[in-house]
Amino acid sequence: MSRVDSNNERLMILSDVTKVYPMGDTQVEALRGVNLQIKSREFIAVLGPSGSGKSTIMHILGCLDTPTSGTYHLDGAAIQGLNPNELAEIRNRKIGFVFQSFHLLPRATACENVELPMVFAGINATDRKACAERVLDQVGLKERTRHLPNELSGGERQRVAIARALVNRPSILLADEPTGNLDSRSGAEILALFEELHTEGRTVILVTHDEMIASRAQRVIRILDGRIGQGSSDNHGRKE
Amino acid sequence: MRLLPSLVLFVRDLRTQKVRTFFALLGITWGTAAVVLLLAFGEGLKRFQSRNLHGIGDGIVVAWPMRTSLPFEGLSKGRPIRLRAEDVLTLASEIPELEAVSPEFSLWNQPIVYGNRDYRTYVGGVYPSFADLRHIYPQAGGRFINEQDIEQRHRVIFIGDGVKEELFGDAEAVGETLFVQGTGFVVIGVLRPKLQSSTYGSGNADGRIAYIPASTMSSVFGQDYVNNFIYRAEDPQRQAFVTRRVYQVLSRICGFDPADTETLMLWDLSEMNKIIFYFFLGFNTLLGLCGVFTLMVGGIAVANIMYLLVGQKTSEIGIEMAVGAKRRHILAQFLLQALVLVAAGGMAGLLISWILTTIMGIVPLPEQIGVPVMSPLVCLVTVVLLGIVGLLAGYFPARRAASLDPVRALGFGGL
Ligand SMILES: Nc1ncnc2c1ncn2[C@@H]1O[C@H](COP(=O)(O)OP(=O)(O)OP(=O)(O)O)[C@@H](O)[C@H]1O
Ligand SMILES: [Mg+2]
Repeated sequence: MSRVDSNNERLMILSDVTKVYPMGDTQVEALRGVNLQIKSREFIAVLGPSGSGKSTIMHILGCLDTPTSGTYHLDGAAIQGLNPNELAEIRNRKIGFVFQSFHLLPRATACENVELPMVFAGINATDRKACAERVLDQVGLKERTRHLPNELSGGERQRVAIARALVNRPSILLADEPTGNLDSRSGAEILALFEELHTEGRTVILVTHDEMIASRAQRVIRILDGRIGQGSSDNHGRKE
Repeated sequence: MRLLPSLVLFVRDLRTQKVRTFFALLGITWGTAAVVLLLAFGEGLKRFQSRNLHGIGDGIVVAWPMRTSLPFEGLSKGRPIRLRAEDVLTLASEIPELEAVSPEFSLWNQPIVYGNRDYRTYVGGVYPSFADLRHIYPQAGGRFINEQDIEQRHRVIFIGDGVKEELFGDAEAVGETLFVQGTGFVVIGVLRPKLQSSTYGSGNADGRIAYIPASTMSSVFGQDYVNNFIYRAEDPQRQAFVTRRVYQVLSRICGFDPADTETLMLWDLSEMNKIIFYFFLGFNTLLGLCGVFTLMVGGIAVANIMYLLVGQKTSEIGIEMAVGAKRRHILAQFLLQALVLVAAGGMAGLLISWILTTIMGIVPLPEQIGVPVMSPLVCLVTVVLLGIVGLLAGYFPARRAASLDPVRALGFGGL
């Protein structure tokens, strides 16, 4: 790390974060003390075996969930201790989240799905529609705005989900195995889209099982059994 | 601003629950109609009763002279009170707050003869002011007893429309001569038919009795003392004061203790009005409650659908939360949806009630039931009730939805 790194360049900081889920009588320790710093505009891949805690980390980073112990600072502000409404506000404006299984509203059209975050941001209907159509165009779905999710292919659905994640112009994009449910061709297209979004200046963090995909990120974080594992690498040098 | 998309999606959600939605709507419609119709019937009945009371006379007091119940200036108790017409008329001159007063002499069960027909009924001897006090108005071409009739002791008679019907049928009555105990009376007027109202003393409905001038009654039939008198205060609020003054004036004239309220038996119709008001307030509340229970069944059906939708849409609620929906967004969304369901059923119910009350207004019903009235108050009460039902039916499911945890709602870690 070079000396010029200033504090505000560290966009997300996890310190000694644990997450414990109660499971009947026992407890599942999903995260066992994670320390992680993510700078603005980084492109990060999170790798790890199933059950290692990748999704749990992403949910905490995305303010969908809170740590059992430890602290999380986003953009210089402490996240732990915020109430559900404040977390909702952050999810709405600062973070776009993309899921493995798309998570689109099944009875809403592509356009209506993309409008959803703007609905909760209090934007009026005409602006919403115009904005949603523009972002759908940007992800290459100009002709699909009125389709329902079940009328779209997997790759198209994930594009709708990405458009939805982008629509409130968040600086951070989190994607939990975005290509996991896609064939290799659509997966490659989605990956290219994320690379493009990164070049446009966004911080992108994506979870994957695929070493090939991981190799295209600037930095790889390996999770093993709830901890940041050995072999987490920095690809910066190699890429530049 | 953000209501429309959620409503559009709501309708799409309801399509997945057609049968339940239908029955919930039916329940609300049924409940609304029950509330409206029961209240409308209550209102109609109330109106009928107050109109009936109006037929007897608005805010009048009927007073019957009785006996003293207290000794007074050496006189023992139990003396009968006897009033002449002049005594009663003194009240009018001595009590300025008295709007009108009329003595009434009574003859019961008198055969009234016309040609070869006769009809037995009550004949009252009254003053002109009686007409206004008792809402007795003549049909066109006739008149009631006037001051001249009193002064000159005219032998004239005013008959109820029922009496006229019995004696004359369709023929003209005014100007004809009737006989009471052999004395001839010229008919001066026939009662304009009014809502049936059993009078206080005669035991006959207004349409079935006859009136002659009080002075004529005294001279022809030798009636010296009034059977009763009727009065009304100028200001209904001062009825009690006027009644106290009546006791004072009469006690001076007849010699009794002004505190001896047994001397007059009073029937205060303004009191009756109050009693009727409170009775119907209670009665209508009871009817309303019956309707409310029906409405509640509909409300429970709506709540049931909402719970079902919350369960069915858990992952969608999770999605909305993930993209930034706050608690209040989720809460408002489900509340609004429940209100929309209730409003739809309520509107149908109001429409059906309106159609039914309109039909019942046309079809003749037994008079005593009254005609159901969808008054603005009835509608307002119904709308308020519907609002409450909608809020309750929506609130609890909405609260459940809003308190979901986003990660769990999205289905991570198993539900
Ligand atoms: N809500 C929960 N309740 C109980 N245990 C949970 C819950 N969520 C996750 N876990 C457990 O925590 C551990 C980490 O889960 P997580 O979903 O983060 O793994 P992952 O790395 O994303 O796995 P995968 O690659 O299969 O998605 C797992 O053992 C999982 O069973
Ligand atoms: Mg996972």
